[in-house]
Amino acid sequence: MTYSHNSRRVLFGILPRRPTKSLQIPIYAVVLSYVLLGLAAISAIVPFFYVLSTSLKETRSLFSYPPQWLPWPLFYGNYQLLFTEHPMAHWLFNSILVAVAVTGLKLVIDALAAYALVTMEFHGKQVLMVVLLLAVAIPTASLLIPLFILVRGMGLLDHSLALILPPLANPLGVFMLRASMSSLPHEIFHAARLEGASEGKIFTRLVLPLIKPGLVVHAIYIFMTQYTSLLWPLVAIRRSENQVITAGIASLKGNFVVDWGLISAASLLAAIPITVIFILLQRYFMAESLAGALKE
Amino acid sequence: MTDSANKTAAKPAAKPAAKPALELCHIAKNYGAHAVIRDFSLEVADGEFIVLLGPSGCGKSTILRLIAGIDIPDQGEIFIRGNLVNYTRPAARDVAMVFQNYALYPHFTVAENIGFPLTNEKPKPSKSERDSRIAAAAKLVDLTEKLDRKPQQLSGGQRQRVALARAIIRNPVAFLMDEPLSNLDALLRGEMRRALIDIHRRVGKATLYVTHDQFEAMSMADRIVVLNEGICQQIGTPAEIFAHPVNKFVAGFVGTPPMNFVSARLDAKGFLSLPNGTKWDTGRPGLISQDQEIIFGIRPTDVFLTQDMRNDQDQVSLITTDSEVTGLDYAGSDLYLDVVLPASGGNATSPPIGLRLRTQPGNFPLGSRHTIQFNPQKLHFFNHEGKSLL
Repeated sequence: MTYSHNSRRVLFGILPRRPTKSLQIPIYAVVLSYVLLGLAAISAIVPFFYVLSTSLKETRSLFSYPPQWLPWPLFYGNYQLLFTEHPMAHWLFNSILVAVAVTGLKLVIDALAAYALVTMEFHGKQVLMVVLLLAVAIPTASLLIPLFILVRGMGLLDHSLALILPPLANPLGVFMLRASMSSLPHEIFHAARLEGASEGKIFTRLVLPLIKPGLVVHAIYIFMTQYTSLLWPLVAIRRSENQVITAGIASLKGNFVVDWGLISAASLLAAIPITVIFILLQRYFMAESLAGALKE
Repeated sequence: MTDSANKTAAKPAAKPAAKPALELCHIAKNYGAHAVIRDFSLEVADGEFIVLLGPSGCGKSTILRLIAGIDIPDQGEIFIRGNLVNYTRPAARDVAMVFQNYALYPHFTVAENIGFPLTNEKPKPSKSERDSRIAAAAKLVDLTEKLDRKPQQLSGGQRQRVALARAIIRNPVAFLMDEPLSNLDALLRGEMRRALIDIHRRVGKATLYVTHDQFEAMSMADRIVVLNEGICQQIGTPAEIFAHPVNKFVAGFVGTPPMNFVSARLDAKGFLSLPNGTKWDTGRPGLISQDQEIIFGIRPTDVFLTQDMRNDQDQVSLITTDSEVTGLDYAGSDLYLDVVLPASGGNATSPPIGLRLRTQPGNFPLGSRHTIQFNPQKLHFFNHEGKSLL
């Protein structure tokens, strides 16, 4: 094997590429990498495909041998059943309502709180920070019973507000947005104040636009967390049509028989809103996860 | 200075310059137990360009922050145009600040950046008035072509101009500039320095300019305030600061390369004894009442090789022979030599006295020996506390 001391510089495009043998990747390495990547791709796709295929089958043909990978003719009965026999539309609506409401309210609350923590000096700031941090550290499960008693006392059981209000108190987002805002140069705040901008204007015209990627990532995070939460809705909601999609899918599992076709269909439908949101916002998601990795 | 008088002076209708633009009286500021500013007083007149000069961490930026209202002093009073502003919010103080990192709003265009202060004015100026004021400010800093750009698309110097225009457009009582040129490369810095002075002359406002670069200070300032460890060391014109430093810190901080300092003894008749046994008559009797340890200082530009001396400069010089070259720094038109003075009077065990001197570029091999002279008019003497004896 020959080693050219210029090979690195060729790689980084400093020198024009010359046909040197040492730089060519051997064919077996190419084949191996494609095989490994292919296996990884298959292992990621197959479960989805399997769920899709299951949802389009009658459940009794599910366990037929040989297994039927591509069901034909397609069976839409599972989907029909979801909307006729089960309150699937309610579930989806409730889930989206709760997730959107929590996301919207939490963004406002978290951003305002983070702004105050970053730009203002007030008595008890340090104590407040510690209290907020402690609140993050409390495990959710230990909150279930006190939260239930609280919500029942407010008469909100079985109501969407029972799902919307409690997550608003989670201060984790305050810390995430605080980190985004702290990374802005402080002189921007000083300059804007000197130039007579009100705090409201600094917040809406300067800070929010500048931390947009952070806000979007935070929004996606809240939305996903709310949309996929199962434990609290199971505790707080009783009537099926008030339930959210996660608990709804769980309720499809009967005591003696499991209708996998039905569950698969519901799962696929449930995945659609999140997929759409992720596709719409992935530009920001990438931007934020790369932030700081590259010098500007 | 009554309160009602202050208020009338602040009205735009009142004649300008009735009160100094800025006045700081016995300001002190601590961060925790650390005293950043100690008993600092300064008065800045309209149109004056004052440079706060000092090493990093000496508190010079803190003074700007106190005036701007970003921080509040622990003691003392700040007056802007005669009004006490210690607890006035920043926006109401009528001073504009230019920050080291420019503090531009990255998502705004240049025009939006420059015009941002106008959007906060009450009553809000009309769109056409704003546009004309933005155009005027942009023209002053030579940015007319770039108004639609975003800050990322500008060079460092252009960004600095945007920050400057954003300050100018407010037409404040005073400008505060916090090391505005330190992020620029050397060539651009020189260009911006001249541009800044030019703009300052045209705008004619009081300016307080912070830098650690003594060349900037010397070339731009009407008056320089030298600060160290939160204490004002000296206030004076650049020439005063350079020729008559009041203490060893100022003498050492101002001037490149820095002044040479040598421990010596001085007696009441003006005879200076160097540690190597050399004894000179400085021709300055009566500086001190009795023989004592002092530090004598001389700038490298006031030490000469005898071969460089021109006849018309031939004053009574303090001469020492056989000084050995131990190092050299070539600086284009000049050459700086490090020399060690020889022992004299049989005192061979004395510590070597190293000096730096300026000469013309030439052939000075290390170890070569030369006769050097001092200009006795340019000697500085400091007592053991560093205070000038002159």
